[in-house]
Amino acid sequence: MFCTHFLILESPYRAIKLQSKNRHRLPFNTNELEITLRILRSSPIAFAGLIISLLFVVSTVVIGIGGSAILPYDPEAISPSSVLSPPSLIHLMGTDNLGRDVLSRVLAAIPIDAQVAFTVVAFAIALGIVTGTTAGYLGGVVEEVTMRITDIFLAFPGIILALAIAAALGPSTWNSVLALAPVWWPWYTRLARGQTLSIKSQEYVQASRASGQRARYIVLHHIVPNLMPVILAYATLDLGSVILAFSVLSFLGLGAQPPTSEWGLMTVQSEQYLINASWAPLAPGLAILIVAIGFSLLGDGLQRALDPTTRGLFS
Amino acid sequence: MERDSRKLLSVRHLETRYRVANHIVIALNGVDLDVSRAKIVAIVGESACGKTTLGLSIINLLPKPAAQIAGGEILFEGTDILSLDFDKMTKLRGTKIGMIFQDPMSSLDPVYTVGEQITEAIDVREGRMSPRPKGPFRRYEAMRDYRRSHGYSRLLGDGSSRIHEKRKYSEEATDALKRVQIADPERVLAKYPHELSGGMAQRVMIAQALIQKPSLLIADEPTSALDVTTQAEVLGLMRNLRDEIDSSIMFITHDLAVAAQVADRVAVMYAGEMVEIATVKDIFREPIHPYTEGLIRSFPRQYKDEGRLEAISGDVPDLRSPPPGCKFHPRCKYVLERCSKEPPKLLDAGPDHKAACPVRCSS
Amino acid sequence: MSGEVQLVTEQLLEARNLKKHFPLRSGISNPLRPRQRLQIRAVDGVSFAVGKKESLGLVGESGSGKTTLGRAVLMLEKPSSGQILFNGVDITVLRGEDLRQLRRKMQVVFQNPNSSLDPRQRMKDIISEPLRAFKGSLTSSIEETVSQVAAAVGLPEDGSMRFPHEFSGGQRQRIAIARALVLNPELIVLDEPTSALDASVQAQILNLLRRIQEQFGLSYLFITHNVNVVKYMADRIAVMYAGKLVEIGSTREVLEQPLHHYTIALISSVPDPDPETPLRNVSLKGEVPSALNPPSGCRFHPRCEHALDICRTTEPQLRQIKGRLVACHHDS
Repeated sequence: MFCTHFLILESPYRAIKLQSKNRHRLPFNTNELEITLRILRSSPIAFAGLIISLLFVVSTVVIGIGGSAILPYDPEAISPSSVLSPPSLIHLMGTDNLGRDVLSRVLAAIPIDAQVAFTVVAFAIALGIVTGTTAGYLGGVVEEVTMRITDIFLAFPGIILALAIAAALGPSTWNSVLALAPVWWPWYTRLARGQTLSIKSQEYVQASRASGQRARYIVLHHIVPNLMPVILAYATLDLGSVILAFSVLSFLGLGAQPPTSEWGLMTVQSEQYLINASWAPLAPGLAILIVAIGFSLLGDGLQRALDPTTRGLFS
Repeated sequence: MERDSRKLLSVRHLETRYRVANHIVIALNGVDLDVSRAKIVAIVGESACGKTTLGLSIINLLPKPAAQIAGGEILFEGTDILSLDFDKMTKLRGTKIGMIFQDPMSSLDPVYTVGEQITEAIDVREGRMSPRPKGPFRRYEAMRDYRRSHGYSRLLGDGSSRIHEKRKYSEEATDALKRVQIADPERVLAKYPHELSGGMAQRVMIAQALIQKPSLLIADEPTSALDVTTQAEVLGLMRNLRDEIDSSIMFITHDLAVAAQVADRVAVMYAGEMVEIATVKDIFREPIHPYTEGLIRSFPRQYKDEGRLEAISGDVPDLRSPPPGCKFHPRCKYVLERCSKEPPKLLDAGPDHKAACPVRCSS
Repeated sequence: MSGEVQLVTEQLLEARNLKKHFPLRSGISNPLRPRQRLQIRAVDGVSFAVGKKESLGLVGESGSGKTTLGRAVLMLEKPSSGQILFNGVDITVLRGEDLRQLRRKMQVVFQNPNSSLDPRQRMKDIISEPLRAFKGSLTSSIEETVSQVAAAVGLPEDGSMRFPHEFSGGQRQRIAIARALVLNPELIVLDEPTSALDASVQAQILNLLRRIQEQFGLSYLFITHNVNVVKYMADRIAVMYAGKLVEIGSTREVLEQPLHHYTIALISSVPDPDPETPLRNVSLKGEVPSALNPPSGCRFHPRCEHALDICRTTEPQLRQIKGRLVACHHDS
């Protein structure tokens, strides 16, 4: 069983290379990882999503660390002489109405969007897991109350709620995080509760109870680790949505403020030049589109990989 | 090898492979099997021994592209059915070769009554309904044929007002249910699958499979999901069918005792290979292959105070990296040096008794 | 309990008229007819006892309620009514910390070794988990105990860091058994422990269970539908049908001379791995009754060939016939 040296197939794409001795050391069946990667690789759409998301993450780290030093131009450097110049060899995506290099601005926006997105989603996951597992495991009144509160939040149209909070707090990047977080967490509560209910009925949880384990231990050590894959798959999908929502807030003036580079902000600032200097609003707009779709596709692929019914021939 | 025309089914050196993750698993490694007319042959084995794969290979219902038949031949009534094209095989399937599965509840369509499903089988046989409509509007055509033959006036949309109408099902449908010893056929015909018990549902499955009067019925663990009391009845039913209809049955099971009660001949499989084939009496009285012997000896039959069971040590091998030579040798108590070198073939061990063990066959 | 057969040893566990009902929530209950609350009567008045170092086999088919009974005994489900006496103490009233302490004496082994082990835990963590639940009150070191127990059930020494998916089915069940042993319980409830295992491995596990029973002086409540297995494992047998016990007695007596008509039908449908002994088919007409609406009187009467009028009206109680307990109105 352990004697074959394992590589992720005959393709040049090698994400992980596991030695035969160690490949079973991971706390999940490495088959799951293999299968997930195979599914993602097999569908070109999901694969594209994977690539885009990876590029996004990599560039976040690179640009975040390197700062504007590694960008072709300073994203905030105004240059009145080259206002609205079309894409050329000097400015690969042209310049905007203040002469700033569009490409540098698009790239500079990546870490900002990433920070906002990850923060919101991380918060939502944390709060969602805590409330969801408590509701699911304890049941009864606790569950009812928690789920009704969740329902109240879900009843509000998300963007409206975010707008209201952002307007109340005052427009800024970090205030928009505070505005988006309350909109996002209820979905995770629901998801976590559903997963908790199904994991709770698994025999190993029953065995834990029969061994005299306390509820807190069972939730922390059995339920949470087993619902993480589902939550993470959903969260990946969500990252794109948060980026989109943040861009919308910025577009409406309630998110990032000038002179910050942020795609939504850039789009609204260049909106009037759509006909004459289309590169200015199109570049950030396309960036939003590609990244949001990329994460959605990746998340969708992950969800399909996790669901045994859609795994099909790969498991 | 003589091609005995009396043999209904003759499998020779069948090799089927599965692609699992990135391994290639040899599910069937050169399997030989003969089934005569009007006989029940039990295929006995544990998980991953290949018995279900064998059944699916014969009727050609393997999950493609994950599974492929890599070699060998399957002679059914003299013709090699592996060489048949898709349409001819489809005609064969369901008519001359039938199959029933383990869980009757998931094999019956929950939105149609029992009567409608039996009638569907009859319609297919009579040619009123093509088993596989062709062309780009297949689904539409199939629906249209079905409704026309049943007198529905509207083409699309079910006459949902007909839900409470009492449909009259044909005599033949009623007879089909009587043949599987269902006491009150009219009542059962009007029921939906979820209203049936496991045993009843399995009988309906068998009735459906028998409509075409197949010469060979492949039954994949048909009683494993049933209670032991129901199981006994279904086994009796199978024996009656063999006598009345002259069908051969290939009864796939993991339970030795069930095989002993229902089969004429028993074929034992282990890790994708056929290890012993003999009449049911010979297998139990004089098992030759160490695996068969171990399996029979480890069947609990004694009381608690009557001494220990003799267990086979070790575990079933992982077919992704099987042991060399004889696949059973790591667990065998008669093992010799040669067992890890040469993969054994089915050898003669007596009249109508074959075993794949050179060590025991020579003694 | 009146009429209880004398146990050979001291009594460890006794169930008295145990009932477990599950309310069926059928949508919004009609406020005009509140009495229409349907219940699934999975266990409907069961009484039995298990002695020390004894093995009681609980035999029944699907729908008999045997799994629910096992879980109720373990207090994994709170019984709807009735008492469970463990070492003379009624445990149905225990809550919280008292209940937790009780769990050290009663453990469980489930049917499916794939779902009864957390796929994300290593073997040593799975086995040591019960010990870690009671950390403060343990004497010898956890690691020592784990390796002792693992050796006792035949698990490989180097396996402690491995995950369940790296083991075979039989080995996984051994891990489950080790986990049940590690707190040194007095009673283990085994719910179909070998039904999900391959035939060639089943005998190994059965032998193991017998060996550790002797070695550690355990009592077993062995739940199964397989009559052959229970023959090999149990000192006494209790036969369950539709939520009630119909016959209790020593294994030999019940299997060789079954008295209750259901037991007779059950025993005679068990196939023998011997083609020379064919099944004498006692065909049972009808089906297993629904737990929502069990038949009146004796639950078996719709399927019984010998049903009398009284069988339709009055529920038979377990009474002593020929040295064992049978719930039937007939006298033979």
